Amino acid sequence: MNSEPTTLLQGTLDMLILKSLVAGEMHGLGISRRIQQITAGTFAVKPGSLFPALHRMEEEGWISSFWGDSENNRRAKYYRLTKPGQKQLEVETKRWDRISWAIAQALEAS
Amino acid sequence: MPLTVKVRSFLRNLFSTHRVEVDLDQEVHSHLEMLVEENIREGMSPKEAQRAARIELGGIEQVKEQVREERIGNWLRSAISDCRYGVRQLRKNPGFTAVAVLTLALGIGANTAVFSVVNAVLLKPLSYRDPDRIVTLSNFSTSREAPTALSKQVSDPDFQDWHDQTSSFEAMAYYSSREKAVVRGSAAEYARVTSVSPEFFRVFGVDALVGRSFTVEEMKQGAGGAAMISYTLWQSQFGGDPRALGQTMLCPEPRPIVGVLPAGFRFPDNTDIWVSDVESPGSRGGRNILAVGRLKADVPLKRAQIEMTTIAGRLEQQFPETNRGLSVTVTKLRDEMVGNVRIMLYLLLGAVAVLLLIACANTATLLLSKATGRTREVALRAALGASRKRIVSQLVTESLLLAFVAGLSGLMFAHFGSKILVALAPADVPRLAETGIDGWVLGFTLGMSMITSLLFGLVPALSVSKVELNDALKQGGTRIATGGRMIGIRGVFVVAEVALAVTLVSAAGLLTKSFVALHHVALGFRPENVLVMRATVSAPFSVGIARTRQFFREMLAQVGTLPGVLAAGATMAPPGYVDSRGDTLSISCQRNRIGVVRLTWCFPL
Repeated sequence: MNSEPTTLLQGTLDMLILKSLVAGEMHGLGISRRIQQITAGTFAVKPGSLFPALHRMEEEGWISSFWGDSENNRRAKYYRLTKPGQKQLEVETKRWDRISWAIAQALEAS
Repeated sequence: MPLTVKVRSFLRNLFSTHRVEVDLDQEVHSHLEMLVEENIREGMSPKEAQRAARIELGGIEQVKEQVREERIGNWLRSAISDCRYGVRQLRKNPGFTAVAVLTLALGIGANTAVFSVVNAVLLKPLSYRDPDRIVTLSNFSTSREAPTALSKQVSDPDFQDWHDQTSSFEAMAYYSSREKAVVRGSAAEYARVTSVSPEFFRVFGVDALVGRSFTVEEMKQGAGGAAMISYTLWQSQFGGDPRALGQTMLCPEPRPIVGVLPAGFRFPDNTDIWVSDVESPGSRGGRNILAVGRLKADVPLKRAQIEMTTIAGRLEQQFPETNRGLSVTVTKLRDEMVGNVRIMLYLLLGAVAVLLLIACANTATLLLSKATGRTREVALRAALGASRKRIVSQLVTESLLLAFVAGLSGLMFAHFGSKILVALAPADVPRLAETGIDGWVLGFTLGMSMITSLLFGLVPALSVSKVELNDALKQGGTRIATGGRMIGIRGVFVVAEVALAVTLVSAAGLLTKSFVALHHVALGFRPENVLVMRATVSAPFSVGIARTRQFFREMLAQVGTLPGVLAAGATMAPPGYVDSRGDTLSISCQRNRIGVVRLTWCFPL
């Protein structure tokens, strides 16, 4: 059930969701498509991973939700980034930078 | 802020379950419909679009369940629903429930009963002030003589030297105790009389409840001395009347009662009367007193032991005639009191633990055979999105419920069981009377029930939850898809059970054999048809010897004439009976001490 094209590192999904919400509020499907887009199709987030993550992050206070109308006038649940969410994104980004730098170093070493 | 958000979510998840669920349902459905629209826009037929959307979503119920598992406070919600479901399951199978509860209750009850004894005898602190600082000081032989109750005794001069040379103790005292006839008014009665040295009550940190303790004057050698009585004696003999103070008792010297000790203080051996020791000190070789001490607050046992060993070494050099091969050992009072009982109790605890393991294996087997019938139910739950963790926790909750009910019933068994144990135990087990069910015992039972539930519940739960969805649902009814594996596990349980039972039975057999052998030990005399009775003559030492001789001569003569009596005699201590007033005699061979023998007086010679 959790099979993405590329297995996501723990915490990476959270970071990608937060990142996708920087552009503005969005519903679940929008977030999923946006992640696909900004990762050039590398990550396809399925509802089975997306919704648990969204609900967990909402309970953490990183995002908040409200009901609104979609592009096609359908009622949909929208999510938006909160202040703690922005802070969390910074933390995650820094952490990710450190990890990716370290791994790049490791792979370059002969 | 995040904390308040979390708390709010927690409360919402717990109390507005319906709203949260409706919200989730709508969100997932709207997501699905948007997926369908997206697919139609990409040119699929409506039917195809539906299908593709559902495949991408991966099952509405499964998604919802995954969200639920992420929720804050989800564990509580599932725990409550698991409990409800568990109670229903147990109610539905009264036969199974009764058998399982009874089996476990016997196991848990036996453990609780033994633990309540262990708790009273070994674990509870003594009911004195700072009991860990109270120690006994006893002689022990550095040569190969085996220690006995008597070889621990100390002599007056040695004690005085210890007392004067040490700096580790806040107080150090000696005592000697025996049952005597005590005369008050015209009535004589047996009572345990303990003669004590000045610091005795300071060692235990007790003071008189009524009246006062001994004065320096009353402690002086050759003085008249005084007596203090136990609360029990005060109640039974004087009806708790304060006028008891000042009355005189013959024990056997006349002693005025000056104080009553608080209820519960009966050291040693349920003493009724404590008298101040006013006798002149005996010889260094005459070891017939026992020593106790209270360590200073900052002195560890080890340091006191080192100091006492040094002092004993010095005395050994100074008085080789009497002290060669003697040293001192400092032991915590509780350890000294408990002594050999410790091993016996731990052995018993081990035995009942094995019993509980057998009960667990039994219940696990029962659960397994019930579980095979539940494969379908479990498969259905799994198909509806319940994770394996969720299923296992539900099944374990059921076991936990079972164990709790068993624990409660076990407490009831234990209540009676511990009474039986106390009644069966030898009379000299210290502090046995304090056995009862207190907070510690309740905690033990609770912990036991929880561990038990994991022991018997986890393996069946893990094995049932590992279902092959397809097979289990297809086979229908109660046919088993996983039968082979379960039979394997059951085999393991049976083997374990038989192994444990064999261990237990053979251990019990060995113990019984030792017991029987003990009864057939040759005593060196024929105990059959020998009756023992006790008698003391209550008289001050000065007139005592003559009167005692007179009394026993007359009594033995009269007993001898009774029909059926072949012979009558008297002794200070019958064979096999340890008396603290026996005398020791060292046997030396060319100035080397080769052994110590005990002497006792007999009559007629």
